[in-house]
Amino acid sequence: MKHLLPYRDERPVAAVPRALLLLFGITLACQLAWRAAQPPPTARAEELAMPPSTSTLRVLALGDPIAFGQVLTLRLQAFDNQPGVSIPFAALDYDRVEAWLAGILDLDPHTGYPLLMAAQLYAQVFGHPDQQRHMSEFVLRQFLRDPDRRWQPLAHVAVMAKHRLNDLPLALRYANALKDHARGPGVPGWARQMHIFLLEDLGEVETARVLLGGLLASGAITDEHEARFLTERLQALENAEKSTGLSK
Amino acid sequence: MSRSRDVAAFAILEARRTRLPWIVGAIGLLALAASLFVRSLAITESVRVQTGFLAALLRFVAIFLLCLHVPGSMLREAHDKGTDLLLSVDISRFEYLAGKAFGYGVVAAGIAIALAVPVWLIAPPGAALAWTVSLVFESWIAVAAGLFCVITFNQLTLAAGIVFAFYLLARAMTAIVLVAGADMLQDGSVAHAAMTAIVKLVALMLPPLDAFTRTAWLVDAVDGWSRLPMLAAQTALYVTLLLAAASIDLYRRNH
Repeated sequence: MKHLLPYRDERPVAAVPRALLLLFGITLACQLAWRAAQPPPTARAEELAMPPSTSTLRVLALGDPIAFGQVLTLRLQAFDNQPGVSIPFAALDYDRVEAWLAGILDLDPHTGYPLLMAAQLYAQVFGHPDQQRHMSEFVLRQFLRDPDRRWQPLAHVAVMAKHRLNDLPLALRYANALKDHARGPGVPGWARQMHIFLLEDLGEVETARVLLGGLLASGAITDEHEARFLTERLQALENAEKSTGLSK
Repeated sequence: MSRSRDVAAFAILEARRTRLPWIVGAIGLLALAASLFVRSLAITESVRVQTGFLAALLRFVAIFLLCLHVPGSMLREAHDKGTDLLLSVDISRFEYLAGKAFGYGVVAAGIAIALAVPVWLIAPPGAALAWTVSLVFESWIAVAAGLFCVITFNQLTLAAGIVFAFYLLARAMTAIVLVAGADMLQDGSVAHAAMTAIVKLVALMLPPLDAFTRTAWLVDAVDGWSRLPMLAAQTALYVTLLLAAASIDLYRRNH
């Protein structure tokens, strides 16, 4: 730091008028007190505006769409979960959420983060079937753009369609999409055969356990945070099954 | 007091003679032309898109110009030995700094008002005026930050860079606090708790510039006037704090 401050040949602090030091101390204390007294920032559902167009987002990214997409993802995530304040996902405008997720995917098509949020967070608004279907269809549309890379979230929404929406035809539509389109070497066989165990008489937790176990065993989930996050979702599902209903 | 006024007058004169008004005018026209281009691209809400683009661009330009002008002007004077000469006459360092702050404050207000003219052309007058007043407040904070940094670091690149980084951080801090608090994994790790605490502490030290000069006032009919008293108080407090810190550094200098 010393070389950054060329004026090392300084007078002592005692050379500064006391009134000035006092003014500095008082204003610093006032600034800290002022800011501390203001309510902490909170995310509000209505503040989630429509994102700019993809071309505008690309300009704003200043040539680094991946990094910018990651920042946008974290920003969107801030609308989900705040300490002491939880915005029910259902309170969000799903057209806007979808537009943000789609914009982030346009910036960084290789990321799986937005679709994980779509399948695991926004599609889990139990008691709001319209929004669940909205997000599930978004996952399907995005899956069809890159099936070999985006099969995991579709597998999750297929399970959700069967057990939460009680809509087996919809679940089978998603499973058939997996069967028909996800054919890359990275897609495990059981994922392409999801329609079989969707038709079996398994409970939701068992199905989720099979799905998660399959994902972990196939090595498809390598990120420690994602594995922990999915395990926590499974535990929440198990806990909810023990008691009743599961809110967000 | 009259000596401070003289120092201020020279700061304003320097801004005039370094063609700053022409630069500001040219940038304002270019920004207006660019906003018309953006408007022509929009398939809906074209005026809203134009206003938002223009407001954000001009706000950024105003601060960017000040981040360069204030440290550049102060350093030029120091390198020409003008600072030494001024401090050798019967003027206290506080008077000198107050004069500089006042002079640059007038220049900043002039830049902010001139750059706001294109916004007045397309935004509702009341909202545009509140936006302009808020931009003047924001510019004064940038001026005070510029004075503090140039006196402390005494290098143009370093001072201008730090002022601009300070500005960007102060604008982004609310969003950063929000993101830092959104721990989806809720693992309660010490590292995360420590980072969140540090972020919150930094936020206390900064003015909430995201509350200043909001585009929403122009495009969403959000009432900006009701926010101005609070912003004026925050500006007065933070400018005083920065100038007090700058004065302390200036008094400790061996000129």
